[in-house]
Amino acid sequence: MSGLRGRLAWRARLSAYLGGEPLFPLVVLFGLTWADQVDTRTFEVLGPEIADSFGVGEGVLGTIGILTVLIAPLVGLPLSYLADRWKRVPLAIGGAAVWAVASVLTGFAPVLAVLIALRVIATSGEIVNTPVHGSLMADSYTTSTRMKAFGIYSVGQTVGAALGAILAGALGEAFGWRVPFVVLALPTFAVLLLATRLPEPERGRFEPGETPKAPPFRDTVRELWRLRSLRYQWIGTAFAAAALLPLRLIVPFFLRDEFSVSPSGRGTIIGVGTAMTLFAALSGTAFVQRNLNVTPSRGLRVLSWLGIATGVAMVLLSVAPSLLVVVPLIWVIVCLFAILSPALLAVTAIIAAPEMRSTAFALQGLVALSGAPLALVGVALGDKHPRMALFYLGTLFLIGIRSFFTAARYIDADVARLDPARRSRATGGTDGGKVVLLQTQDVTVSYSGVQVLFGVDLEVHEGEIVALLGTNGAGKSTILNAISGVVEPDGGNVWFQGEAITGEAPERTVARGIVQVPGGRGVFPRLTVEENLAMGGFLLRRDKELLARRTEEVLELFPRLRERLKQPAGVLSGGERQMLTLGQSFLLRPKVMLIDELSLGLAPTVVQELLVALRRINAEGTAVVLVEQSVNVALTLADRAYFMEKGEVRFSGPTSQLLERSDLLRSVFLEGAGAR
Amino acid sequence: MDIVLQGMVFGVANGLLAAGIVLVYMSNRTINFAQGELGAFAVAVMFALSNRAHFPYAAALACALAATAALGALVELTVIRRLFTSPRLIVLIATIGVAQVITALRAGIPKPRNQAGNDVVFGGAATFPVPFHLEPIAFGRVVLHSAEILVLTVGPLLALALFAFLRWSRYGVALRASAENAQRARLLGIPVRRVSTMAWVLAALFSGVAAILLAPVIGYSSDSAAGLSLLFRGLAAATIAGLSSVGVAFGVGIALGVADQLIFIWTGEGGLTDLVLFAAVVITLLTRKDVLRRAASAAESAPDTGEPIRPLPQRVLQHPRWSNGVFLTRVVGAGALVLLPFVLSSHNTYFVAATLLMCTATVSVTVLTGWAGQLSLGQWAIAGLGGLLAVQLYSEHGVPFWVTFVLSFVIGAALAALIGLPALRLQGVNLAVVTLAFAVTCGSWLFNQSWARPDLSIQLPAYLTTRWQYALALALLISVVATARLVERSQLGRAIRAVKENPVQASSMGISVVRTKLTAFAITGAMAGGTGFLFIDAIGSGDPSHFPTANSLALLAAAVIGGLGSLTGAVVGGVYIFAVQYFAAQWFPEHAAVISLLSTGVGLLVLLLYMPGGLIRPIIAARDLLARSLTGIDPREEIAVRSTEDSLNDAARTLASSTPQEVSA
Repeated sequence: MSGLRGRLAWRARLSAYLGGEPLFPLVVLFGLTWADQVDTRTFEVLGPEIADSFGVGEGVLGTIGILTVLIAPLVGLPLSYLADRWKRVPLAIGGAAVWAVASVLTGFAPVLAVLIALRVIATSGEIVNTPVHGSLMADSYTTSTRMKAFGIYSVGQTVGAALGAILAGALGEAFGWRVPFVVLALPTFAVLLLATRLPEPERGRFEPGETPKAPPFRDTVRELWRLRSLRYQWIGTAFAAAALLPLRLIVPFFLRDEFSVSPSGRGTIIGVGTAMTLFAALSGTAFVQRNLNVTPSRGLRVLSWLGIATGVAMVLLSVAPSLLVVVPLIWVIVCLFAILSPALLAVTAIIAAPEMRSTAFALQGLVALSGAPLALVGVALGDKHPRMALFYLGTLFLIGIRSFFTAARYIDADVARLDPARRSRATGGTDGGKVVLLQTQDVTVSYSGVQVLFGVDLEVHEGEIVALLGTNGAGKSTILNAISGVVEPDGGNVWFQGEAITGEAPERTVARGIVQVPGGRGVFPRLTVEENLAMGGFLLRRDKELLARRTEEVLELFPRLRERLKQPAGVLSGGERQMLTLGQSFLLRPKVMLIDELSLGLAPTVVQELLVALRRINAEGTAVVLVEQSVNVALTLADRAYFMEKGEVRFSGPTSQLLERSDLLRSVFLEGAGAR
Repeated sequence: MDIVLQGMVFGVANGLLAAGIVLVYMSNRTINFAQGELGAFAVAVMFALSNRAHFPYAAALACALAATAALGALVELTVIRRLFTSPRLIVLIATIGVAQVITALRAGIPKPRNQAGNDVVFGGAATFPVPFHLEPIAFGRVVLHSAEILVLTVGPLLALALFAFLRWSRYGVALRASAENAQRARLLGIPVRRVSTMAWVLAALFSGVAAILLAPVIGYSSDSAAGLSLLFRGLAAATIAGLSSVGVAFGVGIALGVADQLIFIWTGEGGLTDLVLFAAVVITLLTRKDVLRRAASAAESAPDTGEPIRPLPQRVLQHPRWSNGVFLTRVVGAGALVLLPFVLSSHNTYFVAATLLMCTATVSVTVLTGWAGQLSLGQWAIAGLGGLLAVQLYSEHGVPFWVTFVLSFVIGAALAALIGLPALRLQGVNLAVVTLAFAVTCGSWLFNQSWARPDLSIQLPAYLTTRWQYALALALLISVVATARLVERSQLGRAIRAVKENPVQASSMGISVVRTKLTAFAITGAMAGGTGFLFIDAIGSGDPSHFPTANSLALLAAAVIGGLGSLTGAVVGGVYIFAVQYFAAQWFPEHAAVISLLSTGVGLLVLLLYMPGGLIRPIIAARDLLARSLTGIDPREEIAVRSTEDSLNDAARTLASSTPQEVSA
């Protein structure tokens, strides 16, 4: 009776801890990850006996270990691809079934080759966990409890690892190495049965708005990498993981060699530390969660400070004089780590869009693996100089944490990009019968902390000429730079033909057909005109014939350039430079040209000549965004106009309407007169 | 004619090295100070493979070049690319760090062994492998061996290939285009970063080939200065050629090699190579027209590494808890410094004194480079020359000790002002080259002149025990820091900074740019001269090898690591670098040189990449935290943290919004 009440109370408390959200998904996933760890540990603990019974050395076990590490990306990425597109519960169950069966069969493996194959299969099944479980957790728990849920989940891993080691050891001693594999796989089957009752949660149900279909794999990866907060967090993770993995190997040696701690002493120290992590994981994630709920950046910053504490503790450990200092430091480190790793998973879940989460988790694991060479240096150092190794690892860890701080700077804007209002306006559709080619939404840009754009919305239709006017320093060039990728926006999105291209490198936006034309400053003065044109056609370098044809067309458009083909561009007149710049860009037949100052400093007759050429370019189907100081030039050419002032769009509409807005236009003239 | 041929052998190698430097300069607008090290690395790998692993020539060559190319790519990807938007002088300093790391790396490569099984540290020309042995060809006074013939055939071919690549291939033209205007190149779809990596790989290959070709001619050396001498050969040619054309650089390289040999024959005196190069660099740079224009671009020349350090607000400084705390710290600190020599052993006292002197020299670099913006790579050479000359007066001409001590300041100031003369026309990269040339020339020629070189053992006045030397060093450091503080707050200090930030504006305000720059050089030179004098006394030996070029670079590294521009930072940086040297010598005596190189190089890179403000930043942050907890005033809020841009921006906004109405009204 009291037992039942105790259990109920325990459930109630856990439920309260999770803010009343359902326990069941967590129980299932907890069970699965627990069972996975039991299996892994069983193999680790019984390794020597297995090696003996097949009459092979430790090297073979090492090879199996390396194999399983290598298949992680091979299996993990395709699985994450599926997990972002298929139902995840069946995937999780499938993976668990695979490893459970493989684990049972391991117990009956007749020869070494079969054993290795079974282990690889089991590991492939276990690889399902990271991407699939992460995604499931994110859709089972709201953002305000997610981190706590990840905390509990990580407890499952710890408990599984500890219990697995103990049980495998005990069973193995009593019945030989084969029995534990069979016996310890049984709980997995039990959890599997439970898992079949887990409903598939709707993808992205806690994120407002409709979750779109996952984009193709390449785009998913690019999209994720584009999120600066995620990118920096991953870079940091690579360093941090490289620092933490060797720690597990080094600390026992450190304890033995420097302080001559006996095996049982070491066991006690590490065992007590592990027990403490259970508490730390729960209370620590709750603490970070509270801060995360204020703003994501605050949560990540708190997390980073915990990371700093971890790194400092590692550095201190390297110089610690006595066991009295060493033992608490070790405990602090393992506890902090127990908070950091689940919390980071939860942060990833916040930043990555629901339809990309599995890929994000898989990639995070991969990036963490990339720190392996650094980790190996640590292991190598630890062999002879454990103190030096600890110092090195601590420094490495701190370097990684620094990236977390950088990530915290961007996380709020990146999370805001998931905002439904912005996502749902992903167009590429039509606007009043015209096809929208290029669109910016709420783009903000800062230069070293000074904000210069405040939510700029622009739209360019196919084949039109749009004028972009404004006062000096209004941000006209900046928005062009944000579109072409020269500067990375802090917030907002840029869409081109229905695809998000925010923050893509200029090399890529050019390939898409967006070419920015810096007025007059676009030529390479020491290269000849011919070489300049060749550079304009760099992307066409594989198709010599096409390049030659288009070069010919440019030379027809601007016959004056033909006379000067072999001269360095530095000797050209201003008008000719402008022609060359336009010609360079026109070679690519862009879908849209962003022209920054066409007429600046040129004689009116030359401007007329350029305007004719520009009309011809436009007639070939290239849309043009024209930034101009000269209102006359802009208005004779453009159908629609935007007027910017102080980093905001003040007017947008047909040019005829802008002519009536003398209040706006006057400021251009006055500013222009004042500045020159 | 025969001598010309001999000169061309060296010249071709110079030209290849120069071509590599020009390549990197074209793509990154910075001089690659690791260029020579890359070559030395290739030689070390090549020699180790052919001698220790018994690889055949071709295989060893391929592996060595592949390793060097990979190293070049790695440097570009991990360091240069991350500093893509940093001031170019910062990148230059970073390449110095890279060079130090590669030097350390090179020390880890197994040394070749001779027949007796001992490691070869220096090897004559005969030890390095060559692919074939031809009958030596006698040509006048010169005998051409296979190695020389190899240089003369392969070198020009490679140069031609590079020239053709840059002239006609799409990627070659792209490299030139990126050099002219990287942003525009990106907007045309040229992968500028990939092009930059390519330039580094090519440069590394050229350096590797040049060094491997040269090694059988001049012999092999595992010395840490091996890279530096290679670098200098290429750097001189590249600078004289104006860093813009690979072809010209190659030609100048050959001309320099020939000129060097001719002078060697005419004067019959060896060791003049560096002097010739130094003179040639100074003369061409001073007589070229376009350096003036280049000097005007402050963006390229000012090695700023972060925002200026915020002083504590008055309210905090006057707060009793804070001022008492500061007083108490000073008393305790002073007490500790006084007691230190009585606690430490004589050896350790000597070491602390030497560290204090290094800190003093670092302070002088901070003033010259951080405040006046003059990147000097020869500060330790000035200290050396000033010190040596003064000691010479004392030990050989019987001038009283204290008089020579004072004279050492005067000599240092005069020397530095002399070096500063070219600086009136040069800035940034070019000045760095000139000062480096000075340092190298000092090491290889000037210090060996009888008039500059005192006796090896110096009889100091009897009362000057180690403890007193410690006291002198401490006094010097304190007075140098105090002088610097005085200068900082004076009209002169403001002028120095103004000239650095905006020379045109400064001169339009009536500040004499010439006088200000020369004064800055003289002041720092005086600091260095005094330091050098005490340093020689502390060692008790007039051996000029204590003033290697590498130490001049280490001083710059110390200043950057501490935080360029901050006096406290200079002391912290100096202590860091020289304390690591000390502990390395204590704990790992056999690896001391490598560890200190690594600590300098890695420290430099880590700080430039991750904490460009230097070690002073966390110290300042801690100071602010301490001030807040002691006084309850948050220094960060006390002074409105508004950058200039911020306020300018606001002003512009106010103006922009008010003008139309006001005008219409």
